[in-house]
Amino acid sequence: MRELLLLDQLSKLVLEIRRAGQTKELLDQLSELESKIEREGQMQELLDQLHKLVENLLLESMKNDYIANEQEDIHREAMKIRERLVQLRKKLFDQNTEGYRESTEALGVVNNNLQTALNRINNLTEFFGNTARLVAALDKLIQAGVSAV
Amino acid sequence: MKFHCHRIWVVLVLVTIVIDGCKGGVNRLSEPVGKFRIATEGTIDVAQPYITELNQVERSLRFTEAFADPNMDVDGKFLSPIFAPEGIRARLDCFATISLYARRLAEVADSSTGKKLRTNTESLGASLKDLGSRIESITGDKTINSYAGPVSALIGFIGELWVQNERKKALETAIKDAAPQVNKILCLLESDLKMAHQGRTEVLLTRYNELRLVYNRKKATLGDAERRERLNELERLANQYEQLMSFPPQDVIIEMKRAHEAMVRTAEDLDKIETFRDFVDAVEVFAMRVQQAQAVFSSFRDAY
Repeated sequence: MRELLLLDQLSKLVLEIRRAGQTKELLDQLSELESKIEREGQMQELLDQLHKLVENLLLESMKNDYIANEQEDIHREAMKIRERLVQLRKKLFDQNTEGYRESTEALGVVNNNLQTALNRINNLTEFFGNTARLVAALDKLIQAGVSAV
Repeated sequence: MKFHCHRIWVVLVLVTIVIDGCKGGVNRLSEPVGKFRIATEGTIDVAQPYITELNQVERSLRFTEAFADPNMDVDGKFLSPIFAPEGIRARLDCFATISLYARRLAEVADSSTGKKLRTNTESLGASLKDLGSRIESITGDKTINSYAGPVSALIGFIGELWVQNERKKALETAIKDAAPQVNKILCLLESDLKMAHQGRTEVLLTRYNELRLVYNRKKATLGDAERRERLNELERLANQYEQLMSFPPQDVIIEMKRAHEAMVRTAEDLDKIETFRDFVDAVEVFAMRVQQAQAVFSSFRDAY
């Protein structure tokens, strides 16, 4: 919630700083917020908040309150923040990759065990089918033998 | 001999009671686990493009920016992927493994396995009976024929009992062993899909805004045909954005998590009817959510 409020303030700040042409100040503040939230292990929350900020800025830039040049400026600010956001996403994506690898390997062992159980079940089923055919063949053989005698 | 035959029939009755007691729990899993498998495959259908197209989505934005800004050069950045291809590959491998897991669970839970076994043992019983009759006609000995029927039935029942127990044991063990891994994968996937969905909505909104700004800047100089074309594109992007916002794909994963948790609880005690009912309900909701997602996503596979 605290972070949400901070980002709401930042969202307003974006517009103010844009008017004064102080993009660097905004990005510095964003960096500070990013590292603070990352330190607290709230990466997902940070991504959610930055996503909301980018979306809000893009929607803001579509308002008729601004002249065309101002709209383009707000759009560009949103894109700068989005660039940072994409880098954070890439970081999270790479972090998650190892988790997928480990889980895939462990689940593969379960799959092999399931296949072994399936083979055992199918083998028994097939065994009875094969034995039935064998007995039927034996019966025919005896019948043929009796006829021959 | 009559005494022996009676004993066999008593054993048969006892075995039948035991089988009926234990096969209900395993056999009734057949349908919900089968549905879980179909819904899992549907989930992968929905999730996979979000992962495989991560880089294409970002790239499409770069090209839109290049269109909007005539001074921008197209350089190597347009080609190089943002999200590592080996990371995408790890996720695709994971999809294949989880799909195989759901398929094998469904195969073990499949109640027709028991039916097939019974058909084969009945066939064995018939063959033994024929053989017994044949030997009786040759030797006059009635022993074989009188035992053939009950013995083959006993083999069938014991075989079925063995199969039911194997299936039960395999399902309980697999579901229990896989649970932590499946939970972890679903959490990762939920996070990935949320991220990919947010990325897609931003890209759609950005593309819409870029093209809108260009349109507004140039509209007075455009002919009617080009104006129409550009407005159509803006309309298409606006519609796609609205659709995308209406159905976040991670919602499917949330339902899959619930269905999976219910399956794990059911596997802890296959004979407990309350947990089984919860599982059936959770799978129904999961399957319905997947169907909704498939309907929505099939209408805008190129929505970026």
